[in-house]
Amino acid sequence: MHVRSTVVGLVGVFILGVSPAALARQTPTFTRDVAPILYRNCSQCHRPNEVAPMPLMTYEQARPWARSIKSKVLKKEMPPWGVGATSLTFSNDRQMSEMEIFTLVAWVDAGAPKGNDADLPAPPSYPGGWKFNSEPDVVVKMPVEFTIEPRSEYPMLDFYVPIPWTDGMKLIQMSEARPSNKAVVHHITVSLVTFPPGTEVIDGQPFSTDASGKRVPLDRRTARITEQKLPSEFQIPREPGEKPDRLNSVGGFTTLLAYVAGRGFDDHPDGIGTPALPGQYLNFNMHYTPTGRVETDRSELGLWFAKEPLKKFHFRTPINERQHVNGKLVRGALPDAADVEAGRVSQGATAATISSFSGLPPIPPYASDFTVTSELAITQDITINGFYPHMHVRGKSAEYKVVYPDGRERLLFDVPTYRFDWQERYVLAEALRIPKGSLLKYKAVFDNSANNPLNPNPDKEVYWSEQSWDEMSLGWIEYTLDKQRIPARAERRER
Amino acid sequence: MTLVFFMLAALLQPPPAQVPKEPPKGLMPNLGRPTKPDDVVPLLDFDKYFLGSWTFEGDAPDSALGPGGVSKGATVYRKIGDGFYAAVTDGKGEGGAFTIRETIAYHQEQKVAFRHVIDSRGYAYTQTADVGGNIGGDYRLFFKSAPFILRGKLLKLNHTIYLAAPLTFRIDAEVAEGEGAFMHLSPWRYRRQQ
Repeated sequence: MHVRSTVVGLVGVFILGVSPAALARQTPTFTRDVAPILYRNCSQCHRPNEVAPMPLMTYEQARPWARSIKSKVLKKEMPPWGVGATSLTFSNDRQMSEMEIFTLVAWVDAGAPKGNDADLPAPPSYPGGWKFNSEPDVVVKMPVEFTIEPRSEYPMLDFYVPIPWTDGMKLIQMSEARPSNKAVVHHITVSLVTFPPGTEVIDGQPFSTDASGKRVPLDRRTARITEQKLPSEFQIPREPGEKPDRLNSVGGFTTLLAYVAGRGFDDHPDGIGTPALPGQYLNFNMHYTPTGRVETDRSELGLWFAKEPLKKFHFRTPINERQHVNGKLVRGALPDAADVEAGRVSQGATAATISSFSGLPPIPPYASDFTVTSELAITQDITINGFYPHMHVRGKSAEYKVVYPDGRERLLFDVPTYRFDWQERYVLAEALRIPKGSLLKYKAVFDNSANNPLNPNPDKEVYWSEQSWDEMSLGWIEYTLDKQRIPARAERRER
Repeated sequence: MTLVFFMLAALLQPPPAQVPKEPPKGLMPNLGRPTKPDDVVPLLDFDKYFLGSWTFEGDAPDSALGPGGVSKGATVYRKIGDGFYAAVTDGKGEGGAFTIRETIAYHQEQKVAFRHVIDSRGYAYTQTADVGGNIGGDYRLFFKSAPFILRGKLLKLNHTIYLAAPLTFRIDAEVAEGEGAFMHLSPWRYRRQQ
């Protein structure tokens, strides 16, 4: 289907005569025509020590892969991009133009010639190997190198590193997490936490002192580790009597970023970011998946500070307040009479069958279209900047919709073929305002059948957890609060 | 005459009863509950996973092994002794047809495997592998080869076999010349013939 549409497009290029004269006259060469396309569309991943297994930065690196390049771009398997139907535009849309595809195909068909060295443009700059065009302001490594032994599984592990600066609050606009061993890192989530006074952190682990003066591991469930100690002008705006809710809680802006296959770097529009204070800790939440042999990892984090004054916090939350499985309500604050009457409340959703992790019943063996729909009531005006659907290997497709207060339903976008090995963060080219009273909907479809080529165990019930053989259904949104207005620096000084 | 009789008898036989095909099963143990860090990972059951016929498709780059391009074909794994297996691959690539013959030894308790591979494209090599997995049924065989000579060049060829699902597995390959760095070769993807 994709191949056909591309071929039709390429024929159109010829018939309509929109092919640049230069291409019509001469065979594309690597140095003049192909390298700029690869630099622009592929170099972020296809360079040494990056996630792609082969670099494509030089002629010598790209030439052996010429036939594969043609095949992949014609099928539109590369560059990877998940969005299907959409009413939005995305700033990180990696789809190549028909002309770029035509150029690559023509180059391969002509025998993949090199061309003149003098034609080669300067390659893109990735200082220090980081994805952004500059070295980070600060690089923070995990406090220890961790050894991943051959064993059944690892729980999520937390390592804490103190904020490495002392000169006041910094505003983080961009961040990137890099594993030292991609083979074992399922995810890295980095967030900011504050420990209770007296907490001692040794080799990345927090300790408190008990009544007898003995050092004991800190009970992180009772410590309010996400509480921010922000100056008053940075406090989240709330109406009198308004309590923190899903949209404006502190936890919504203290997560910096997540690394998973296909992502691991976040940047935000000017003036939008995350405040970080001396005295806080960076929490590396690590999920390692054993490979069966001894492996090690010491992941690191790059932080870029905002050059512009901060205007708003960058928030994120999953859409998961009220969830239906295959049309039956299984979770949510409002299992109302109408749901019961209409038979929409699942009879199977009892304590015995619901996973404590998420409230969802397990996915049955061999189920091919297990559908979880989730909703989030929008309790104040927000502006969405990006989306991030997350599932594991049974993930099949995803869809975001909004229902406006007047009842109008709008498809935002869908991901018709979800890929666990390439989990995209979809960043909006134009921010999307969602008014109070709207309802956001997220639909995730899971395929636990044997036809799913990534499904390790179609004969098993699938539970909900962070382990990659279990599942997750998280439709994240990234947003700002419309009513948040952080005063400019001078204005703050006057107060 | 006897032959004709047997042929007629065979034709008159009622068709064999349809044996219900067992649905595919993964390698994860049946715990009936979510996994835990202290669960014991079962040893890889080579017979259960590999024996039988698989089709494959690969798309390799040009490399020290020769011209790349798309290859397709089939591999049949069979047991030839306790812990010993043979695999024959008949494939066709842009350079023509080829056959790969393997003799495999797998020591389940020691979690190691060995194989000797003869490729009709003019080379042979011996490999040894650590075999590991996790409780999710995600097993891997990390094969590393002894150096071998092809067209006057000293090569090393490694394969990592990822047992992704009961009906599919993937082999990632990498090749190095002399003491040079390993070059990634595009994976071959296998699908069980039902």
